Amino acid sequence: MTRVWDNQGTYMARLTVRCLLALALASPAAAARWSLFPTFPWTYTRTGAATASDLVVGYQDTIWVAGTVMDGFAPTSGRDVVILFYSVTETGVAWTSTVAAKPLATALYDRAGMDEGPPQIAVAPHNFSWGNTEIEVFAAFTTTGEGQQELTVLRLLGSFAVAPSATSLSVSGYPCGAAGISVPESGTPYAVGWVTAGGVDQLFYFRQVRKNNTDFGPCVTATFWTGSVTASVTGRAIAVDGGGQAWIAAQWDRDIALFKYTPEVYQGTSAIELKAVLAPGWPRRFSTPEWDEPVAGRRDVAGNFWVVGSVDPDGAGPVGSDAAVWKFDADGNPAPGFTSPVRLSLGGQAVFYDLALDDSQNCYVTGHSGSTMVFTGYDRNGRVLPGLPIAESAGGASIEGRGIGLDSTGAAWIAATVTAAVPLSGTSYIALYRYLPTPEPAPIAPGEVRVRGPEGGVLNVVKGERMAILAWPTGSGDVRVQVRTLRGELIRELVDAGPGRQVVQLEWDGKNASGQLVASGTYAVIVTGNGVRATKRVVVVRRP
Amino acid sequence: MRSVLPAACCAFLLAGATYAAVGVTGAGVLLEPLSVRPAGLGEAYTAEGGTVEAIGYNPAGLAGLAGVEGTALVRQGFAGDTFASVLGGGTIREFGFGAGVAYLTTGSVEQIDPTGRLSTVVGQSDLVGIAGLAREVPGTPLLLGLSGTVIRSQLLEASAATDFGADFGAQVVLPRAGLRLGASLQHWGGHLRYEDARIPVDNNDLPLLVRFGAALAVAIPVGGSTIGSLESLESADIRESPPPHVGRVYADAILRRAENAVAYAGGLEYVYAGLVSLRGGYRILASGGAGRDTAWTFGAGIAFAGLRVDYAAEMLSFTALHRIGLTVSPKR
Repeated sequence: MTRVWDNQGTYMARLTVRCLLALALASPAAAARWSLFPTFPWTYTRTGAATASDLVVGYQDTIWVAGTVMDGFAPTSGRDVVILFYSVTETGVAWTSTVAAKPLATALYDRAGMDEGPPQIAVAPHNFSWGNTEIEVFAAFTTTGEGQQELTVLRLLGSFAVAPSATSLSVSGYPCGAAGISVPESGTPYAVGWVTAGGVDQLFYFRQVRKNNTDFGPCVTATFWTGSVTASVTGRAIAVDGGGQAWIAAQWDRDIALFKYTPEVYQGTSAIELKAVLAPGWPRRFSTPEWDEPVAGRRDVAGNFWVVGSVDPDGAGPVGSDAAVWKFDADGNPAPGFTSPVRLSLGGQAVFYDLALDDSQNCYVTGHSGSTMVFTGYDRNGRVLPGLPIAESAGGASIEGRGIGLDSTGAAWIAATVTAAVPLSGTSYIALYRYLPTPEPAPIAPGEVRVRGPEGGVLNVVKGERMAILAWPTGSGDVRVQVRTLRGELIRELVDAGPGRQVVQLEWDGKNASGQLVASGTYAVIVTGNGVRATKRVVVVRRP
Repeated sequence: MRSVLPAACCAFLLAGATYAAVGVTGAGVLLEPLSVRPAGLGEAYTAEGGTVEAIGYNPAGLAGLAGVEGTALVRQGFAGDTFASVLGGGTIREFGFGAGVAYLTTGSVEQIDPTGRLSTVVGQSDLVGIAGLAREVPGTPLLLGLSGTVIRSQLLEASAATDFGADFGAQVVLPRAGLRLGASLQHWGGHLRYEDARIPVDNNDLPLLVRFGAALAVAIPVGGSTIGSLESLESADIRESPPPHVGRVYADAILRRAENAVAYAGGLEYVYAGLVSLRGGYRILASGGAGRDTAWTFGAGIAFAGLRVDYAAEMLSFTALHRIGLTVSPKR
């Protein structure tokens, strides 16, 4: 163990830091750690129950959480759909930590006498061709009641200036419902779900034609796949690209199946219309001895289709399952270099409910394992991303991460349902988590010096921050750190006199030699030793 | 030897303040030399007068200005910072006055905001304005002066603070002894609070200084002549035609009250025929647990036709600071 002495002779062990640093240096890639941002989780409660089912991050880092609520202890109309709107960017650029932990707006959809199922949500791209400058949100869910089940697509504007409008659809009297929704550049919502026909569930694919900026009217293209009249095929997730090509992950009995629909123009009875045609060679069913259950899917920037859900190893059904991630290439084949499915279980039944993809083809997922919420991520080859997984627990309650999204800073937002151990009405609520990636100190080169704190070259002494000073001396001997004013006056001196170390890390806590916090301003950190010599600037601030 | 006694007295008065807390005051730009000549003399300039350069140490030194005078300084810091200042002064009736501005920019730093965004911003930029005046108390050897300072400081291009300070000074001129004694109180004022004082913890005192100093000027005998007196050096005739060899000795003791620190400074200057100056100085700051900061200073100046180009080097223990400047004084 090396020893670090400050100029007062105080001994400070830095073994832990050294170990972490050594690991970072040994790793070929810069590691990252994830930390829950202060003030989180934010919670949303009702007098009855509130559950989350999806989350998306929209334009300008707006956060949309979809779920259901059931007020009171004697609900008369079942569950209602709720959409929560959070905005953490007051100006569209800067984060303000004073953002309230409650939604800025809430939309509630309650169809009299009906029970609305867990909604999936999608946000239309900001700059779609219709030129609407407002954020447009669509939710797809199943409406149940009065002896029927319908697929409902709810549309609302980000300003909530327009009352929510919805299109409900049933197919020839058959019950049907929604499981996924996607809104491509055209701003047209595509939903996927199921229709029960002939006694079995079949894939139900729904496209709501957009007539103009506000009129979604009755123009509907809906079809269900009748390729198998005996198997149960349920659409679970859909991802539509700008050309209207839809990728669908479905549950085919106990297997995963992929469907790809391409748009085709044809002459209708009165006008040119568009229909969806199943691509030749599709669907593709991936049979395994296990019970594979897809839940959500998205396509990455390279066209790969990522699907998350669960795998039951013993094939007895989705109980005691592992959470799983599948990756398929742009041709619908298992992606090379990725051993699908990648599994995770931290104990108990585990499921991944949602995923988010970044531009580096990393996949972040959330779900649950037993009673703990899981947040993890995988790179393009299926390796677990550094710093993950994270398991979030809440005493005796169970937490399920139901929706995940990435904002423009790379932070991961997760909407979760927290349910008390004793399932009584009013004991579940929505919790919103925000995890921030923090890069570990990157490996430094021999002779190099780095000075960095939690806020970069800024040291907030009010928060008790410390400035880490890393140096890799090329020779033997002491490494000396002097903190000086810009006039050259010595504020503090730190010396690492430990033998045998490779990389030296010292910390400055913003205090002078007398133990007093220095004033706000700019200071010079001068690092000298065998083979190292550098002068860095540090700005000390005092922000509550 | 006569100047040693006051300096020793000052040192004695300040001897108790040995446990320093350097760094606890804000507005460090106020500790920067505003001109090059004092920087070459270890900044032992409290007792110097008759020049606009005195405004940075003792406003009483503005008294006795020979006429319009201006000086400018620029230095590049060791941490990539840049400091520049311009001073100007003159006389109105029996008053000597001076004013100036100074600017410090520290260069850029990397900042990570709460969302994790990394950006590069200017760490700090300070703008200082100063103005003062002084006059001789009639019938006495006493000079009195005062000056005011305004500082506008900005951190990280986001937080700004403004504060005001005042300097008070006095000098005693003893011509027969060739001696000037000076004392001043500098940067007496409020607190530099960024974010418009909305943050109670952001309370940065100005660097309050109490300075005592002495200056001795002599004509150096060359070829067997006698040592000249201050009276002759201060006379108008001598200004018009300075002796070929002049020596000046400076000594200061500075109590940094808010930081409970004491600094001592001394300087020597040799001037040949009023044209070429060579300077040296030494300063020491007792900074408590961090040890003593010491620095040698060296300087030189070349004057011609009312212009003087000055250079000063401050030899810190880890690097050297270089300052260059230009002084315009048509009547000198």
